Amino acid sequence: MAIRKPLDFVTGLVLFSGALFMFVESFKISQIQQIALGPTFFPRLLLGAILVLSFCMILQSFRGSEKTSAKGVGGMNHEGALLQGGFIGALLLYILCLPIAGYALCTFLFCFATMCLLGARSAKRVALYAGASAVTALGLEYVFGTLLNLFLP
Amino acid sequence: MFAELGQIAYVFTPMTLLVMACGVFGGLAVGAMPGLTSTMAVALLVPITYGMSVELGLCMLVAVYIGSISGGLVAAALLNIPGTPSSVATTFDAYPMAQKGQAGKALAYGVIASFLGSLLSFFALMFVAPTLGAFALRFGSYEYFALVVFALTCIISISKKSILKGLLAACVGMFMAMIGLSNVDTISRFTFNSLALQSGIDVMPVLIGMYAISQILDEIRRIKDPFSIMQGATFTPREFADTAKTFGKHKKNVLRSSLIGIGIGILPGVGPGLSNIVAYTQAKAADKNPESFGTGNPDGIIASEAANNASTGGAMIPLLTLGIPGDATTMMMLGAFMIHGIQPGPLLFRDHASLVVIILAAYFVSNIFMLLLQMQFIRILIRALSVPREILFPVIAALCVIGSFALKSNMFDVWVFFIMGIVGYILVKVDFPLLPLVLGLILGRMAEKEFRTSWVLGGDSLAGFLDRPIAFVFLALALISVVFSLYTLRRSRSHNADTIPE
Repeated sequence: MAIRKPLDFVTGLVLFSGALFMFVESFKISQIQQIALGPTFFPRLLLGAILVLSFCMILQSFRGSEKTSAKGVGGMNHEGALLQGGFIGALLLYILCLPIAGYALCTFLFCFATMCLLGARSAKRVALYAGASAVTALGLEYVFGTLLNLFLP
Repeated sequence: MFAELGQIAYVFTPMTLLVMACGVFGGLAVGAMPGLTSTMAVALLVPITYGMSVELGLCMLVAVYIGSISGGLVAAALLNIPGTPSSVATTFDAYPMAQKGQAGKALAYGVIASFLGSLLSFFALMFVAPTLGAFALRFGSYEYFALVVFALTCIISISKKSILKGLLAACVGMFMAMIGLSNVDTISRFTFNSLALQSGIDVMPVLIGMYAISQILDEIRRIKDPFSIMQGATFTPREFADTAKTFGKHKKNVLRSSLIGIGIGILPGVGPGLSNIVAYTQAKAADKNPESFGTGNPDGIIASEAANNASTGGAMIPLLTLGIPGDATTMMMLGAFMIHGIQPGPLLFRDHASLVVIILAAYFVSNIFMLLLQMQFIRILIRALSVPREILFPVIAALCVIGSFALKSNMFDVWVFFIMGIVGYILVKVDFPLLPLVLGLILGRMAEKEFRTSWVLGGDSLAGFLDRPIAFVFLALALISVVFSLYTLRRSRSHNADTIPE
């Protein structure tokens, strides 16, 4: 029996394993003080439903035509995937650096790096990106930090 | 509530008017940009409201909501790309009309129809919401649990491709709501000894991540494909006045489309995205010359724009009266209400009647702003279409980080936003609907609390549901909606199988 919808199969499997893990974890929840059905009843009910439904999804992935399966990354060009990966990597670095280097500097670097990554890289454009990044970083810090008095990372 | 009518004056203070004008304009600009939805507009501007009073913050969000739904018209008419999903049907006739050199006329029809749709929706909101709110005061645990089940099944039923995936998404969302201290007996669940998880997963970072980051990631794929903006598009006040003079002959269409918009908007999870298509189809069916639709018929633009704007008021009715959001954008607004310490629902009308009056007045004034700003500044909105996306996306991401962090000044929420953004993108790619997941997260705790309370009230059984007609009706409707959607799905599949050529 061949898997006709591989993405559905993997998703179903991930959800099934996750739900099973959480179901086992639910036995570690303290049950000393119990009011009306207990704190584990509803989560277990939901986990049970996820287990059954994801199992159905796994079974369904063996049936039907590939045409009707999830669109997945089909149709995605190589360059598009690289840009997405680059954007995610830059965002991850940005979040990691925020508590260390502060909002304005990190935002400037993140905006500049991603603008260069996503757009054309001529000298004129790079200068535009630097300007736009500086305005964004300083503008957001001024509006949220100074004007609206919010805490920034 | 009528005793609080004096609160209307709050909306007319200079500061509130300024904030609302900025909100409508910001919403129009974001809505005009292809790929940026009204949900994203609210997500981006929510952090600005953190530093405001509840009243001012909510006035701004209402303004952004109305502006962003209306903004989709510009891209639909000039790019043939719907600025938001709510203006898909607008492209069918607005773009052909613009191609004939009547871009100004197409925009004028859209602007006037949007205004009239919103106006009718305002009256529906004003009269239906207090009545429904008063009725909902009779709701107890049984009714609330049944209502949550009904709202979730409504959304699952419209999962176009797979009800199984819709159900799974709703269960996963509800399970995510179980993480943290349980609200009945305050027992720590699934926290893995993490202090940050004790208070559970906040809705706002999840919403911002799922609707903003996953959308940016999707748009990045197409970043190298430039838009071709129609050259020489104009919009003059004279053109607007000329169109307004002849608008009387479309009043039937406006009324029908607005009623469709309001009706669809009220249903949980079904908002402007569907109403514009339904209204367009109905307008076409009712027209004496249906083949003219798709070639630049003004009635096509009017139907779509009146319906999508009318559904904003419709979507706000269940939000304000029952605490159940009507669509993804009102879901975002529900999160904003909660941030400001307000729980929408029937008690809102009793305990915060002044706030309800302010929201209604803000809705009305925002519509006036929407009309005036579109008339005066549509040329600026046309220019907004040409903002390079490589500049736009990093700025949006930086704003989203503030939106997630500023909520509790907590880096944990920024991580939730990041992870949920990627998860949201993957889910969309594997055809999982996001709406049931997010609604499950919002309503999960309420469902658990009301279910457990119902169990206690029923003497350790669920027999109590049988004695509560309202709850029983909601549960029956939930069952009918699932069975009906399963039936239609099966029928359309067998129809497709029959029509596939050998």
